[in-house]
Amino acid sequence: MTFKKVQKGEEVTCIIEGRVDTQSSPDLQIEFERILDEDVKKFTLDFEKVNYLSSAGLRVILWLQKRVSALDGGTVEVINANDEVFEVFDMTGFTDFLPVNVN
Amino acid sequence: MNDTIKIPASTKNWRIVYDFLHQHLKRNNINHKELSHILLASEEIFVNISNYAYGGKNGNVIINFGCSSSSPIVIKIKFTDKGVKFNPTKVKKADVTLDFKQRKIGGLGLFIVYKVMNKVEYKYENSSNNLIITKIIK
Repeated sequence: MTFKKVQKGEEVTCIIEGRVDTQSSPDLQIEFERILDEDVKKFTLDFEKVNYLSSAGLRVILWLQKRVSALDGGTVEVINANDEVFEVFDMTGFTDFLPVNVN
Repeated sequence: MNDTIKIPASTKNWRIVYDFLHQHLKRNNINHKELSHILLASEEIFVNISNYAYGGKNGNVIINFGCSSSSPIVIKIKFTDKGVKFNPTKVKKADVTLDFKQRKIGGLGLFIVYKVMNKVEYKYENSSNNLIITKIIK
């Protein structure tokens, strides 16, 4: 997995690439923690180049959602998910509380 | 066809298991969606065994990949470990209707396994946990 971010004030777009799985998810959480330390409230997760998402990745996204929702005006959204990744968000009910846009 | 890998039960080894399974699934022309389902389910099971079976001690997992040659294609993946006796088919599944505020972090793995596979079977024999997950591709 590779991680890039474009940060503008309270907003950040995280461009994630590769597999978000049991091996890469701890790194993803560290990246999110760093961003949260900088008082960012609005997270856009660009999943265009994510080809695999497992429950380990969902766990980190749920963690982020919980942290961000405690902030005034905090939001998380996923954009450009592929069909397989969208299916994982959908079957686990994440799409009920997390906006996920399909590529 | 049938192939087996024996590997130390550690999440650090998931990529090796991923590559082993991915290679066989590709070789059997399994499409992207089904391939993704099988890898997802396998990751959840391998990670569970790695985290819990041996209680922090060293131990192995044997993974057997089997694929029928005739239609419908039946993929069976068997995970065998000699760790603590554990029947995942008896575990209560996560409630995916809960709002994120009420959700606990984790617990989705087995839910996903059941959702994406056709069959999940458990047998305890020869002092080993044997979990077989099956996907039928029509």
